Amino acid sequence: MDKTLFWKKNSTIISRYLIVVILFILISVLRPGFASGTHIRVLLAEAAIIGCAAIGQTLVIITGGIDMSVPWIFNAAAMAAFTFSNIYSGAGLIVALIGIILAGFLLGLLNGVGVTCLGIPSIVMTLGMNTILQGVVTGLTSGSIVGYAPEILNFLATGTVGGISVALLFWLMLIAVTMLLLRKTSYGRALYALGNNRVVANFSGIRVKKTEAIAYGISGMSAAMAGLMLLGRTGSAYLGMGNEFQFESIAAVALGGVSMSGGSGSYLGTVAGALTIAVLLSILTALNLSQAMQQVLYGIVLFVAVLAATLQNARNKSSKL
Amino acid sequence: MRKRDYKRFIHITPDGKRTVVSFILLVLFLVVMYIVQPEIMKFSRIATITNGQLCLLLAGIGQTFVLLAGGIDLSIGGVICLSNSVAALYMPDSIPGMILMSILIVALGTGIGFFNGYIITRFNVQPFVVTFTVNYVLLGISLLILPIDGGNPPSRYVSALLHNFGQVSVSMIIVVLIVICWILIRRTRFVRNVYVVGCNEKAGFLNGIRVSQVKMLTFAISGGLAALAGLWRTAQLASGSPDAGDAMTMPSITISVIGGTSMAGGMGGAIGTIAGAYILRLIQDLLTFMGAKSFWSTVFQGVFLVVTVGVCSVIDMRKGGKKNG
Repeated sequence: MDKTLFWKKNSTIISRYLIVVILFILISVLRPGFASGTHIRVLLAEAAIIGCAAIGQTLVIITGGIDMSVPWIFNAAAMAAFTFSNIYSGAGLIVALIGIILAGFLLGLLNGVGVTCLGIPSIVMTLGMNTILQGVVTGLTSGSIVGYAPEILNFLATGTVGGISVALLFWLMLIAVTMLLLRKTSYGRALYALGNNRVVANFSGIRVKKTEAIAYGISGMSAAMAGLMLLGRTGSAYLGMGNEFQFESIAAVALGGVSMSGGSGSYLGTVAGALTIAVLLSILTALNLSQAMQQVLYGIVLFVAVLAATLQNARNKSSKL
Repeated sequence: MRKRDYKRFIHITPDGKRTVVSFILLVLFLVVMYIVQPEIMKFSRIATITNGQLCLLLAGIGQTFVLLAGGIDLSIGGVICLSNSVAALYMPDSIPGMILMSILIVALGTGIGFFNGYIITRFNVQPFVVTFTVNYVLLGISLLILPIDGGNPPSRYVSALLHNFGQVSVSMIIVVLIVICWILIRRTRFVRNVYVVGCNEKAGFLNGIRVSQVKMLTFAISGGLAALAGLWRTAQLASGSPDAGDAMTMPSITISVIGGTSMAGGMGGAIGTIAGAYILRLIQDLLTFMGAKSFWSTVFQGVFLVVTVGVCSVIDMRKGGKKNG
């Protein structure tokens, strides 16, 4: 009895992981090199960055909003770390990196304040923030900067401990923290309540505005962390390095079965979404198509997947009622 | 103006107050600009500005329709890029060919808009999710058609659209035509239904309005106008670009909102959007005049969007209207 309930309750998430596994097996049969240890490690590191950027996006989408400012918060963080590596070293650098992540939180919080206190639609507020940061970063760096990726970030993104990549371990830690935050804390419960019904949440004594604003703050923070991870992997920062993540972070959340209208879904689903995207991207690269063709196929596949996820969600919701 | 006439004027323009405010803003900026740069009032200068802003203006009017019905269209940039790339590469050098090609491109844009609207209404998906993904695919397709900036639209096409009749440019005639069209269609059942759907979908449905049909049509109009904007851009730049038009989506929202269109739907109109397009340009000119570097213009665009939407929304909240539209 207990067991069937478990399957029923988690059918959405389990089906997402099944999709990843089936996709992966299919490709490994067709292309033998795909399932090698090194390739899997690369895939997971890629998924870790997407998954990290999508942590905050998941929270924001649970509240019923959307965060379009991921790419330039991501980019700004990477650029800042790249420049700071010239000035600081050792413990100072680590303080600087923590400062960058906190700055990401504050930028996100600013989004949250605009959305909650001024009543600006989240899509407009975050798009505006994205453009502002694009201008500021472009202006401050005047296009190109010199520096190097801090070693600690290199280690975080590409290092291994006992054969397991550090990026994966770091991601697992983040997954645990996020799941605890969503499932076991009053904040997480407040978030779901708010996404389901703002008015009821307000009358139940939840501080709606504060809860929602913090979700945007966390989104800024996770975007900054993802930016640092990508900086560690590529070894340099450049303008526009975060652009792909606007689409990918939202797609990961949607593929993971989080309802786009808010109130349901879980970060474990987003993790499956991030894995799907990483596998999909590497398939497209393996097919040796032109950049443009890749973008078209990728877009179409994600369009269909997002649509299917939304439909499934709608059906689940109506069957529950 | 007597008080009664004033009231009637307000009554004629749906939510006229905000549209009036946008025109007051426009006059204000014109005055400021006139003080620092007197040649702004010259006819030829206005023609140049209109040439430059027509692409954004067309896109913004499409966005206005969608916003009025309570949606949002993020695929405008993609449609402009696609239309721009196709026109730059395949525009034939004969007059019937040009007309046919233009009609085909506008039909393509309208079709994309219909597709957006169909998916949104049929499957009840959030507009931004659908249009955002469609935009991504469209940008890919444009890149497939035109891998790098280039293309060579026939010179006759370019000169026909940038032609000046005396001092009156084609673009100014188009703007006047848009205003006349809007005044003519504003009272029609369709446009009224758009306002009703944006104000209160349920009430509209209960009053026998085919809500999904109305919404689909607004997206189709937006797609068609975005394709037109792309055609104009092709003439204006005399070349094509697979990704530059993507930057049009955000300002199209900005000018609609400065023009008095509410993000929550049901209030505003196309005439305000036209004023919005000119206001945006005047402020940018002012920035350039003050010697600001080009990246400030990007920063400013974001700040301006957030501030205008924020101010409108705070005013709405004070009135005790809709919250978090």
